[in-house]
Amino acid sequence: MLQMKVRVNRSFFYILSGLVLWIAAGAVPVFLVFDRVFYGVASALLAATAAVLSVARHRSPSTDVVLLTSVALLIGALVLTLPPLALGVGLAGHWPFQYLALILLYVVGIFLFVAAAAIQLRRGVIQRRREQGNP
Amino acid sequence: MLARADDPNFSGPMGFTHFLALLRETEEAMVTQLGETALSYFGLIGVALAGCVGSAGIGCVVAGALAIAGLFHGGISAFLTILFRVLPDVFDVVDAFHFLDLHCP
Repeated sequence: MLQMKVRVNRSFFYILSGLVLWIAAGAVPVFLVFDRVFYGVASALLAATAAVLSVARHRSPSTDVVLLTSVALLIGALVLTLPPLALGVGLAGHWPFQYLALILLYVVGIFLFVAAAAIQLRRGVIQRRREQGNP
Repeated sequence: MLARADDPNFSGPMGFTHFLALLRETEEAMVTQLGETALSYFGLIGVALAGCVGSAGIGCVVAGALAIAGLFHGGISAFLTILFRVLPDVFDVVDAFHFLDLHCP
């Protein structure tokens, strides 16, 4: 089932771009904090380019995507929330609450983007089943 | 308190310098881990750049698989490093500062 292709509309790629930008929004300050300014700037530029191109390359109203790859990518993005969560929970008693709030915002943002993308994929799966006569 | 870091009472294997060395090691571990996590992050960008999600060419399959493996490896290894290396070192340093607060004349 996961190897099948499902049809998603353009908003799926907007969401994917948003996910890349959001993850970059968390990674770039970390680069800057550790004095990796070049990598921070390069990451920001790459993320912005990726976000623009991933939308620009999919101009058609709907595109077929591989369900397995898409689901794995989304789960991978969720796995990336583990390190900030561990840092936030571990240092909850030592850090100011503003830092913890930022970490929570970052994690919740990733969850929201992944949920939005998952909803798009679910619509595609339902549509595919209807086309095959299995509502 | 930092002005007393060179106090001989706080140097040595169980003293202040030991905890400062721990903090330095923790920072180095964080930087190393940051590099590994960045690989997965760049993998995700690569997928977005190539538009691989929308196609099933063999190049895209490889790029997608690498990006997914990178995401999982980066996320899990960073999680384990923070859990078993960074946090214990940070707690040691916090305890050291607490000890100094209590015993500083």
